[in-house]
Amino acid sequence: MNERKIAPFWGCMIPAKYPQMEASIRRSLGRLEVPLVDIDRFTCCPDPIYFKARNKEQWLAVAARNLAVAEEEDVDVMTACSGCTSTLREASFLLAEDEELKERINRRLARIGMRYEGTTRVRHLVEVLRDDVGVDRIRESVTRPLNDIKVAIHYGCHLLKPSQIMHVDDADYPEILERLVEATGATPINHRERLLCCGKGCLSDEIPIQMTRDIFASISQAGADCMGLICPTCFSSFDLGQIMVARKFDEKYEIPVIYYCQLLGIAQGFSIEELGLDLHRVKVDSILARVC
Amino acid sequence: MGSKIAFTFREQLDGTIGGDHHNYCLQCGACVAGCPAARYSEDFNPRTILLKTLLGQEEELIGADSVIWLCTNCYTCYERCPQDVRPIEVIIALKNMAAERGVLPDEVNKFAEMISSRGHSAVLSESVNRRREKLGLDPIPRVPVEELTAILADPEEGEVPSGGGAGEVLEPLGSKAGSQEGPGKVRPEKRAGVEKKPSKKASGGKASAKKVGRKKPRTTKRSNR
Ligand code: SF4
Ligand code: SF4
Repeated sequence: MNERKIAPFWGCMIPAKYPQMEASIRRSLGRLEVPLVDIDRFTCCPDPIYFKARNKEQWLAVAARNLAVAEEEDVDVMTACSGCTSTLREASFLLAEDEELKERINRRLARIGMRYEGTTRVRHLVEVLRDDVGVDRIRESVTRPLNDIKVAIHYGCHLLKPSQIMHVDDADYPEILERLVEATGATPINHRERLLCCGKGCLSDEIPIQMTRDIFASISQAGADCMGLICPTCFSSFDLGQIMVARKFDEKYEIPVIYYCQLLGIAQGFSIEELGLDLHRVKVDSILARVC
Repeated sequence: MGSKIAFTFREQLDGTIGGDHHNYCLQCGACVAGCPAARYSEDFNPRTILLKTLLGQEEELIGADSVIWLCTNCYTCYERCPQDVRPIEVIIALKNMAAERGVLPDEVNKFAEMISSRGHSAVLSESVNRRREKLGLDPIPRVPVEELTAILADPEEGEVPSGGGAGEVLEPLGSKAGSQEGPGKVRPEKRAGVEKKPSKKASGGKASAKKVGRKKPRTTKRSNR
């Protein structure tokens, strides 16, 4: 379907802080025969919160350079972090919307002999899984179905919103992750705070941890065995965040937080070490014991 | 609320990327209901922030005590707004204006500076690569930070334009061929079947683009107004 090769855009957090996510992506997508072409000229996307807050024109310039690299290499980009997805997609959108701005940014890129045209498609890996691979092939790759495992999905914000730019799924009634989780044999469960933000972008000592607390109260009430997500920033809010909640509020949750490709990797029969599940703060043994 | 509208401030906001959409706000409040920052803080309300932009209340919006930094960047307001105000982007434009003034929270500045100077927002240490190795992953590639330095520099007066319309292809301005390869690191050949245009490869960057980013230091000034 998609003739262009796909280049993974790893960003910063995944390769440096959570390489287990990268390992799980490479392994599970390899099992599904999604060919990935690595490009080592990318930089930070850059981050859509702080870097953008300081200077949006610089933010656009760095994003446009990354996109121009993909154009030169003639590849489509596959992101694995919702932040990278947000930055690269929004930059494409803004530069398509505003010709004058695009030229302003291109004047910066001209300094390094590059030019941004807007011909590269950027998709989060869950879109590649849904649209190129398809749920059926994912299901066929499963050798160890996660039967009876209840997964509380955390969508995070930037995969879905704004739908004017992201157009991945309905922002209020998304189901892309439900379908992908079901393909592993697990059962996605709904809960009150399913679409709440992880809070990481808020500069406050109080608010983000309150949000994490409310999300865990909601998913534990719903009886989840684990949380499934697709963004390293959300992951840090919830894996480490759970421990912070325990410390601050004396409320102990032990709900493993699992990146989607790790979940898929378990179902495909990869080992704990291959998926780096031993690196999580909140141990995933409870889940593994039930499927292995 | 103040009695006079400060149009000068609004014009400055119009001139900041994403700021001009504040003009479309009709104060309907659709952005408030799903806003997590409003849910968790009584001080924060995207509609009120937009009202202040319409009135041009500069100090409240971009002064040291502004609530704009409580926004979680969740984009719900953008999703809900019927007027295409894109409230979050107006808030980001306000943050850019605050940064211009040097009123930027320290953590924001530090994080952004890390990206400007290293091209990466995470610390890349040996232990990171050891952990990667255990997972069967290659080391993290070197980041072409000198290219970033060049594109982050403030534009010069009369800077050579990018070649504008008609898809004209520009020659690189500098001439240090291959300078973006790291020491001892040769970029692997591009995958088979893809012709790489030879001339588009970066050169050393524009001679005049010597400094990263910013002229003035943008440290936090959190003194009271
Ligand atoms: S920003 Fe949009 S949603 Fe919010 S009050 Fe203004 S018009 Fe209404
Ligand atoms: S992006 Fe900010 S202002 Fe908009 S809804 Fe989210 S927290 Fe509120």
